[in-house]
Amino acid sequence: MSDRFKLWIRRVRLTGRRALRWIRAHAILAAIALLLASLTLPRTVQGQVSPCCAVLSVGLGTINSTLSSVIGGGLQAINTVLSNINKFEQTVVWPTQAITKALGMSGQIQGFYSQISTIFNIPIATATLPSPQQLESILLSRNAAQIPNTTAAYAAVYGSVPTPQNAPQPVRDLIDMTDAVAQDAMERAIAIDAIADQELAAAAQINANVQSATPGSAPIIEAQADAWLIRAHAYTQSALSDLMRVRAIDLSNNGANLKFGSAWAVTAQQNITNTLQHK
Amino acid sequence: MWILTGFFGGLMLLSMGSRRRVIAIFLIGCIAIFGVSPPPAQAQFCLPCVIQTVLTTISQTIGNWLSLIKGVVSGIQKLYQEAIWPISAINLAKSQIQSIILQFRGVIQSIMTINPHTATLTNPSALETIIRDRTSGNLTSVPSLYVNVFRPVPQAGTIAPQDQNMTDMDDALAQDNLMLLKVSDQAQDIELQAANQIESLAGNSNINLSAPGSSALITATAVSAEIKSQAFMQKMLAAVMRQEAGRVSHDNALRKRNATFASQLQTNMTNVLKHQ
Repeated sequence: MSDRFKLWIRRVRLTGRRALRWIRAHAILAAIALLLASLTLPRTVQGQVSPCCAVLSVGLGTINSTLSSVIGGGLQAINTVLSNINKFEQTVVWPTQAITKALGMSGQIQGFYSQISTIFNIPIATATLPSPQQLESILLSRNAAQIPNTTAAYAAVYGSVPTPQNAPQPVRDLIDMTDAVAQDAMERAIAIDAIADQELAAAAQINANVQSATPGSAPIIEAQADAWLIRAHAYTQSALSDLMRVRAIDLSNNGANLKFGSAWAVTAQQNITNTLQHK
Repeated sequence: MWILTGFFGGLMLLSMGSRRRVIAIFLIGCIAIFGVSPPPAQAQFCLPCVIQTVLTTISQTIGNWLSLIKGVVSGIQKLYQEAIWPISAINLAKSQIQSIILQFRGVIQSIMTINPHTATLTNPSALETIIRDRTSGNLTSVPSLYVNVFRPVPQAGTIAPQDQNMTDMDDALAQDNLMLLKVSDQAQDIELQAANQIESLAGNSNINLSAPGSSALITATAVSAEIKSQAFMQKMLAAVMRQEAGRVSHDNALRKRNATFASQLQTNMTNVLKHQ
């Protein structure tokens, strides 16, 4: 056993001597091999736990708690206020049920006015003779295209201005003026009826728009409806104006009758006086 | 590093016999140590200082901003709840509406239920009843009741043709308007229902039925209803215009005939006097 060990020791020494001899003979090659080995072998790195990491850990923990308390707390407070506003707006200012109810009522009001429009369109013509029937149908037509036909139909019922042979000029003037105002009023009545129909259609459309509106868009629709209302008032005033014209001419006719009566009385008196003087 | 130095020192000792080798191994050793040695470490930055800066930014800059935002949002909430839409003001407005409803609606309705009936004879009484019954369902009955009171248009041969036409036209305009007034009366009742409904909804004490946000819709509906009411008003004015125009035309037609008759009379008188 000891012999084997001695033999093994001898071999190692021999190998070592040979290696040293080889290294001495190839020292530069060995140096290059050592260089490559030193460059390619992994280097030692610093361990995870270091005084620097501990400081970083404490710092990040502080940042975290600060974020939670300062930013988290602040955001939570803002969220609370915004939630309160949201709840207030949803339950007090713009409750969905109230909006739905208002939209529903808009539909019901439209229903009421549709009913009124229907009864206003029931035919009411009652004239029995051809000429009055013709004039009445024009007057009740609610069609502006019928306006030019008024003059002929009017003359068929109420006659025309007398010829110069049949009436003195002042009387003809009076008759013509009165006919003109009466016809104007009739024509304007047809126009006002037609306009009223257009207004009803526009108002129905506006009402339909309201039914698809929101509280935010409703004031825009209301602004348009207000404009239409102003327009409607203007047409009402226009109708009232024509009515006033008719009444003014009527009053003027009463005055003119007195004037003519007075003039004729003076003329008659003069004629009688002259006749008696001749006799 | 120290091990590498030892190795290269040993190699240099083993190569003492050759100066060139010693120099070569020295140079290679230098390269190896230079390659292995760690790069010069940068000076440590002040980590606690950086963290403190971040903390200061969070607590002071962002914290202050959040505090300001919260102040603004709280101000908006206060404005909404105390100035624009205070619940007390909303309830007050609704109670005022209800008060006006209680005060006036019933009184006005009771006044309008007084429907005068003053005719005493059968035919006038029947006509008066039908023209004041505020319904359009019996419109077709008006002409016959009208004729019972105001008599029919005379037959041809018993009246001058122009008079017959004018009489028929007068009757037609008068009947048309009496019928239109029945329609208009019914329309007024429906309009009153619409007005009541709009007013009642606006003054409803339940916030889920009437709220400041829904009032814009109610108002828009009311304005569109106003346009329609105005249109019906125009239709009535047009009817008055027709009637007034018819009356003036009738008077004017008589004037035309009087003028013609006067002219004929004058001619006749002149002829008579000439013969004498």
